[in-house]
Amino acid sequence: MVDKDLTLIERYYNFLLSDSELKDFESRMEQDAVLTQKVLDYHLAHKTAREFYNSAEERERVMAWEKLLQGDKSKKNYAKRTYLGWAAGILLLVGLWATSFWLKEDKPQNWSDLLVKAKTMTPDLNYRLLRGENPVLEEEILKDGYALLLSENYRKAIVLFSVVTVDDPYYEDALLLSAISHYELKEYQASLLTLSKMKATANTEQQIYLWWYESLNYLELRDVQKVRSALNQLKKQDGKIKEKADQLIQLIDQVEAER
Amino acid sequence: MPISYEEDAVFKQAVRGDTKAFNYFFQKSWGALQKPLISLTGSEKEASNFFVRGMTILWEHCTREGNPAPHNSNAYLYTICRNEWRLEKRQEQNKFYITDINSIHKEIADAETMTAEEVKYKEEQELFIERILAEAIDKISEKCKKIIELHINGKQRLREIWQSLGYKSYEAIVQAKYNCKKKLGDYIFLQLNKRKKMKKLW
Repeated sequence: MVDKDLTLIERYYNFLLSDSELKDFESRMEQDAVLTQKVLDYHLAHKTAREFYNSAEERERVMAWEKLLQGDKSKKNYAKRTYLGWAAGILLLVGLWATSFWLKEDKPQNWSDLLVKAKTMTPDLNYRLLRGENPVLEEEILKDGYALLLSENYRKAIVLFSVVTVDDPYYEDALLLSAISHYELKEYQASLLTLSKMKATANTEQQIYLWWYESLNYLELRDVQKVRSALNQLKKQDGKIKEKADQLIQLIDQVEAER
Repeated sequence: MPISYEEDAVFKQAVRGDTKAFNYFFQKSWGALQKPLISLTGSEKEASNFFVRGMTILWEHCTREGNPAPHNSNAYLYTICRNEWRLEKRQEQNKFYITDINSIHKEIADAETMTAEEVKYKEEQELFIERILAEAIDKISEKCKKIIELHINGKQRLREIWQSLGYKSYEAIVQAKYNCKKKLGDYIFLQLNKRKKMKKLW
């Protein structure tokens, strides 16, 4: 029994557990205090060995790395000041544009209601994260990000999804969840841009969310033509999503008629 | 594990002493992981500490013979850092194994707020680990001891000693050092378990 556990711990510690083994192991660790203690002992033992074998050569290497991090910090401070200048300018321009936009466009009476209704019609995000050449690691990160999204920590979630997309820019699951987070943060253009990256490779299930969130984003931006075009894509699908798309188009027609 | 040939070459070059590409990789990884690690650990200092620890483990992994760099190094690195952080937090919560053996129910607070009793407890723990370490060192092979003598205590570089110690190449001594470290860790672990079963410390 002990040997079996030890083999498992070694494989866990060396990131060699399969997806299902990892899930089982971590849930066992939550419940089995003896196993948890063994993992902690293993961690302590190997950490002690690592520290003991820490040579001057290794310390030099780590010091060089720390210098790189410090260098990165000072560079960032300079970059930060530059970015702040740019950001202030951009904010000013956006402010001016938004003011002119709101002055020109009268807000339709029932548009707000339509937005609320459309949002409540959103299909539940009962979503399985399947793809990935390195599924265990990427799934782990995506799960963390997904949990952040559900707890409405959208900004943190986006940061986490970017860990996956920085190496794999077209990882659809990460893009989709990131786009949803942008949408929730009312960053509609960023959300649309993120969705556009997954258009070419999204599978059927992903396409449902893709087109739905595209329509929600365009609704917020009041681009009715593009909302219709996205919903028409959903009308090609079978099942409930087709009904929802029809229903939303009807609601839009009603609001448009009243205008 | 899917292989990233590009990063594999980066580590191989760095082991040979050409760190230019590795430094770029290091900074790029830090750029990608800085924010998630800060949100995980709660501070930039902690984030950079765990990043360096994670990179040390990735370095060990990738510089060992037959271990290619992972396909998604950022995801891999993030997972290493997170696991290290989690294990560390768990260790803090459990306050070491001695707690259940000896029923010394003391919580280690920050060094500044430690009472005399807590300082004594911490010193006892350190002494306990030192004893176990000494016993474990006794059990490792002569070749491993020689590496300790020349490389760790004598501060000689592996590049300078691999031939005199009879290794076929520099890469072979890097691998041997890793194996020694692993064996030492395994012995310490066994000793910890043995002591626990015997219900005595020393």
